[in-house]
Amino acid sequence: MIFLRYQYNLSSLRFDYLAKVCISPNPERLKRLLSREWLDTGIMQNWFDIYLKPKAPHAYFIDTNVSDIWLREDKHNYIHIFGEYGWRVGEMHKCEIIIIPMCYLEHFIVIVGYPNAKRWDYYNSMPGYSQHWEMAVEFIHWLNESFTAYNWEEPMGWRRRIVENVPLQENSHDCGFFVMASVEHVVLNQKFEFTQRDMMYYRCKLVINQYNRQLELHRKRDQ
Amino acid sequence: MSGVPGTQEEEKKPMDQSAHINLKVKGQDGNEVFFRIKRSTQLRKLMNAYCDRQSVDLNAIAFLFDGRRLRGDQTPDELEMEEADEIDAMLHQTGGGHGVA
Repeated sequence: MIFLRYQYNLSSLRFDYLAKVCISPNPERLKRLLSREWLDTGIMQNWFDIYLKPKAPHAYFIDTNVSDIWLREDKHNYIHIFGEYGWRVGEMHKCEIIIIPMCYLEHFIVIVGYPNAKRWDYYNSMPGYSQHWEMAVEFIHWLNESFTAYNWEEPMGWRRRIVENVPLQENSHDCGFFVMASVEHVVLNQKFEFTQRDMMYYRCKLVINQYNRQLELHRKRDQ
Repeated sequence: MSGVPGTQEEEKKPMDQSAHINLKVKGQDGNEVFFRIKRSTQLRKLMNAYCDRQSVDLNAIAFLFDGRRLRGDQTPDELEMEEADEIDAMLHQTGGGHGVA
């Protein structure tokens, strides 16, 4: 068993296996998501894992809880929880896009890294509040320092840019879905033509994807 | 009579031990809670027990093993967990925009 585990560590097979089978949906919660329920880091990460990652092998998704661990100044816990898998810089710098969701003051934003263009882009569906940008800059700085520890120093010199004319949120409960939509459009290279009115579509899409995944898992179990 | 059951017990013991696993759940505050469960038991039991003990809602917590979120219907056997493996419990962060609205 120890030998097997060592092999997993080397090839990250264990990580990939767990990424496919580990999800945490809950029917009551999914039902509430069809109204005004806020999105959380767990469900968002889950949607990325089951729906978006298979469509975007050229993108690297950093875990949705990383910003929270950073905000709590809990770097030790980060390393403890994610270990070497968290910063697979070897894979990251080969990717075209790096997705980093951030949750701060109960508001989701997303930072997108472009290794080829050497740039960090910042998307916020409520851009009128500067404190998120200021915090995102600090977060990017911390990420860059963490990458340096894994011998990837290049991102330290990347430009940082606020993306303007992004679709705007018109309520106080859809920011997570704006992040979902933004990330989908970025990784699938689609034009940003969605609006507040499309957020119910994203809520439905999220729930359908989660239920489909559940059915898939149950079928596998029954076989 | 007394010798026979004794022998059976000796034979049973190692089997029972291998059917169980000791797991540690570590919270973000560093607190550690230890559980001993059957390898074939769904982790939901451990998760519920942890949340009860910490007085938190099960839906508010992410349980991570090797950096991946655990599902309640999985078992230690399925995940190839090993003795004394550690599970991390993290609070989900929720956001809607309310904090800045």
